[in-house]
Amino acid sequence: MTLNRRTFLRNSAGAGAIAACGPWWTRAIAAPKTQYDFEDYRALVCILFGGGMDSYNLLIPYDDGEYDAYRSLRSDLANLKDEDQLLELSRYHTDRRFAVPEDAPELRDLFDAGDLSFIANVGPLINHMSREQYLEENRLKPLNLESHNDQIAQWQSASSVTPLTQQNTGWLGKIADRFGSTLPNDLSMSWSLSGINQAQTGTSATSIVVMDPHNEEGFEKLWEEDWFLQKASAHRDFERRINPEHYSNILQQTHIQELKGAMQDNETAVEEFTDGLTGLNTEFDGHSWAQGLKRMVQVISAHEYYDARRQTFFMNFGGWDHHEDLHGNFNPRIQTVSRAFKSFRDALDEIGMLDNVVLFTISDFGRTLTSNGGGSDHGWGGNAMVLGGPVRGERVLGQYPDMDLEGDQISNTDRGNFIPTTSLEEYFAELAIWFGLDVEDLSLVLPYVENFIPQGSDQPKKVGIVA
Amino acid sequence: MRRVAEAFADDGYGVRGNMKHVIRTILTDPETIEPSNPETFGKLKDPVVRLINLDRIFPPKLSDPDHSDWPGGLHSYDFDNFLSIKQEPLNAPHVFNFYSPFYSPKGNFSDNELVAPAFQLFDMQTAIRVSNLVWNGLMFPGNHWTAQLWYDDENGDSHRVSSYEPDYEDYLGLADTPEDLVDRLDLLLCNGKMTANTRRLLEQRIGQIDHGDDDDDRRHRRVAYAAWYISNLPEFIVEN
Repeated sequence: MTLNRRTFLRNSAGAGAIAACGPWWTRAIAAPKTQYDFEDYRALVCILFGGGMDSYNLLIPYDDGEYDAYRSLRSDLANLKDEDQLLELSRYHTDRRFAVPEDAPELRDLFDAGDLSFIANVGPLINHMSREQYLEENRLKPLNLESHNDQIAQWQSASSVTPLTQQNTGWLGKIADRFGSTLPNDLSMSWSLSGINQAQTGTSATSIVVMDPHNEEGFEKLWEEDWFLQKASAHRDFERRINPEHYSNILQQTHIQELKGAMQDNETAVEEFTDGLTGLNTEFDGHSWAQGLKRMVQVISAHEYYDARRQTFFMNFGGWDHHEDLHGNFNPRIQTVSRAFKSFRDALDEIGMLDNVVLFTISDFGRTLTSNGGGSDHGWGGNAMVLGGPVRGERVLGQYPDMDLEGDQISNTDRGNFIPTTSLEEYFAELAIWFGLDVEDLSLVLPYVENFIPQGSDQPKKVGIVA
Repeated sequence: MRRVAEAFADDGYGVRGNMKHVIRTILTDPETIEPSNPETFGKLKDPVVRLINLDRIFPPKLSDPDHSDWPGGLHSYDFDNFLSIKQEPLNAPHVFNFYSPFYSPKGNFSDNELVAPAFQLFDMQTAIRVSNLVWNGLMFPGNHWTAQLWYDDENGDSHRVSSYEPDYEDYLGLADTPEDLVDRLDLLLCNGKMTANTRRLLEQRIGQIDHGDDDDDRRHRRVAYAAWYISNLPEFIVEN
């Protein structure tokens, strides 16, 4: 693990430029001038399965021998082939047979139609390592494996050596730093259905546009003039007459500045977007996950109205920490995901934007193969999903591991945790390149990418997610 | 820690574990009264704490406190009002509660390696949402933010108890003199630290609520308005 010197210098130069940008409370700190200028529209959608999804019950081996090993290892956690609890996936592009749980027929359909692929056994790494290397005492490993908040931070930053206390930024935010605002107004290119998040936080990019999955109009109408009181005059006070310079404490300064920013951002959003939002014929469930995806499609559908060229979206589909009753907890959730993903795909198709959007999933970690007597515990490598027109679909990408506690990729022989065979850097680099980031700039966004994709490599797309 | 531990060990009269003395020591510690780093000291109040601070000053009361029409008894309660402000009591989104202890807002905090965790919940939605929730709760009976209670009637059907309103009784007598009302609420909600700038603005706004002949109505409006205005101020939202 080395921090490339050129990268270090470039990063420092960027930080200097930001610091010289005027008073700290200037909300939208100017992004560095970039060469980025896009003609087309593209969106990256990051879905976080918060809690650590048991993704070896999402993508399940189906060949007889491999299935038997899965069933035997997972014992009471296994989905049963002979009780029709598995739906086999198309084998058009795979030489091994795989299945998804019976609650996820839409995921099977999306896979078979070529809109969805899986990335097998992906996770944070410092370098690729075998089991033997893992057991070497001085071998570098990601910090605090199996810890929810460390791992969830590493998945958002793709930096596995950064202590939690310094995990402030994420790779989508750093892309926004590079691209700057591609909008004609002050709104950021980073949109969240789950509030402020690390993935979309950059060093210099503007703040995150926050929407509520259940608000049809997307934004909070604020402090409208009221029929009997002085609400409008209060609005003017907070807009103009109560200012950071009236306070000496930085929490108070930040609070009033953020409040003003929120008032302004909502007003801009209402002005710029509400008229551009269109209805959709595609049906979405009422669940907040489905509604969040619906809001995203509506924002995407209006992109020409406000001339956006690049946008990222983030949403947490939380609640996957299934130490108990895996079947009772996991199955209804994966059903909700499956239906929501299908609606998302269909709605993108409806508005003619399926080829402009890639959805990808992240999660704290995979989970133990073996049961704790009803659930599974914290693991390491897991299986992710990518969905969208640009995705090379109908594939299980990366290397799906053998269901063997003595296998080469096992870090914990008692419980069956997998050492990832695909790194976060390899996963995210392809998405970033598709999104328009220059290969030369990858290390500004994924700090340790050169441990996996050497500078000047003519093969930066190692996984094959997008063409 | 040392000062509090010493107070626990000995209250000055040789008594160990005198909790009154311990609590007094905490509340009157020099750091709480005059922090050594006043420009960076303090914390943003959680959304729920903001609401509860208001509840303490203006306790929500049932318009109809007679419970005899709840023959089936209290059925359940929910905190649905709190979902939209991202802090539903007893239901944090994950095992690490509502925000990261390491969250550092961009700008002066991140540049100086300072943290301000509760700012993670202060986004462009919740900044406005909490304000509107407070407005509705203070102004309109039946729209209070507090936990929603459900009771069963004699047929076993559930109904929501929806008739909460804030109790303004203690402050109505001050409402005709904006300076006195602001003085009192400044002490109770802002620890007496309201800036001259906001005091001047708020007194002016309260004085402008002057229509109608109904004294009681005007006083209610003035108190409710002042409470809501203050609930948006840095002087209230930041503990420092």
